[in-house]
Amino acid sequence: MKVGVVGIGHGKFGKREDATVQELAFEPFKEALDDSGISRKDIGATVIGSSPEYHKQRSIPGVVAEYLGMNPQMTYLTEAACASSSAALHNAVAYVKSGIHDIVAVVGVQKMTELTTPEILALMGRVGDVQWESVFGTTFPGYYAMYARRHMYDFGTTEEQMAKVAVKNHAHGLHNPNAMFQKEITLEKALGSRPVATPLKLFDCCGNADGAACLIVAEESKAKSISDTPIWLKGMGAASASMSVLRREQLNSLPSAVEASRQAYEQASIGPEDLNLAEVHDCFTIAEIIAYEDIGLAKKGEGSKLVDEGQTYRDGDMPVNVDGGLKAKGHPVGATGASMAVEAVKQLRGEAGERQVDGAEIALTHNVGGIGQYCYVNIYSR
Amino acid sequence: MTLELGKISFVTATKTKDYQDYLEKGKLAGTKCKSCGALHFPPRADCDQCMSSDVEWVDRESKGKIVTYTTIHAGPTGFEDVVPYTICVVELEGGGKLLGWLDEAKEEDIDIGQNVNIDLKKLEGNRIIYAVRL
Repeated sequence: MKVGVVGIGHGKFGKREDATVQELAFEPFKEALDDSGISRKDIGATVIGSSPEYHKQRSIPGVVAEYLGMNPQMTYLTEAACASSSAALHNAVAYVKSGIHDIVAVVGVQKMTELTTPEILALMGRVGDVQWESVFGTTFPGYYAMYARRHMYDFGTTEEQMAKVAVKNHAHGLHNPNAMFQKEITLEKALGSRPVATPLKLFDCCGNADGAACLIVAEESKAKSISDTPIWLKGMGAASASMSVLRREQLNSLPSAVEASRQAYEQASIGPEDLNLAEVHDCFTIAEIIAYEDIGLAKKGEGSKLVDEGQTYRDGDMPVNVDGGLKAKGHPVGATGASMAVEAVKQLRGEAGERQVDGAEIALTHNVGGIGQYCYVNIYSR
Repeated sequence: MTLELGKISFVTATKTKDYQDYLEKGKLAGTKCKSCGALHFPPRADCDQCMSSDVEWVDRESKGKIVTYTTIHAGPTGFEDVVPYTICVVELEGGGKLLGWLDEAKEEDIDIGQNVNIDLKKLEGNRIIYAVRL
């Protein structure tokens, strides 16, 4: 049985001082309902993807489902760090495939700016293995910085190539009204920004943001009756890797991403050469270059060539992150996976406006949780 | 007063607490599974290879090679007073990796693949760190 996306919604990402977490969730949920034309009683469950430690409100599915008017249907949270709403989508599709529910809503939502700076700094110090790593002051940028340093050593990747990823994604973000940053940056500005964790600089890092995105999925016959243009989930790969980077063999690739993409391609019976666009997890610029290699857009070690050749711009051979990526959109941790899915669906429907990839028929999303502890790779087609 | 690894601690209870005795003596130690022979460093109380919980302590070499490193300029809570600081991953001779501090090295002198020694350095209070020496 096929499962199709029949409704999508995407809120404005950024520092949203005007809204609570449930108010953020309402925006894309309403949009997705209107988009699908179904009513709330048709939806069997809401699965909420979010990273709970950022919220003052504990157990947010309770407050979100209440605010969306989705009681008494079942609701719960999925947590896989920055891939939380991809985990939610995975759950939703499992419900539909199992026949438990015909239609399920996925809401990815995150309010990141209600914590104070000291609270954020305390959280930042506990992203790794807290027994053996965090005790030496590791940070999220610090881990990706160590991956970047190793990738540079193994393959000759340069700081300039990483900065070019930021320049591209900011150029793409210019055409996304929901992006946190809608302005171009220059290579000089990116390279001249202050160090965060060497070799990563401020412009190599995505920004924390508030925001939400929503998808409604349905089983095949319902999807066809609800929507003239259902977008089908053709492959759904999911994998994990060790929490501790000390227990990984290599620090230049994310094994969970390699495995999740292998599963997704196999299920969809396609290869990377068949994709028309990809949304990849560029929490840091090096992460996008590694993603090219992990999902097979480039051979291992050659991801930076795609950047130099400009192939991953919207008008290139293999457009990547045409919505601006995490870099320009901002990264509301729990909403990011759903945001990628919404963009894939928009592109395949041909509704992406100024940022439309002409004739897009197959899209891939690559959503990483943490430093690859979790990875979800999905393939969508018309 | 028992020694605690790193600049600050998060974990207060672990089945590997005897590691503190080795740190006290200035030694690195891992665990070896008595059932399947797998070596674990950082130490584990339970073997993920064969699921046995019958493990013994074994000495580990205090030398190895740098796998990767970074200098952190934006530090988390508890590290405000030491930024910028340089951390690295070291692969030990005989297996196992640790994350430690390059607390005396200049970043431009550090190379991936470089041979290093691990010094167990006592800080104020009951803290002890993996100090990586070029």
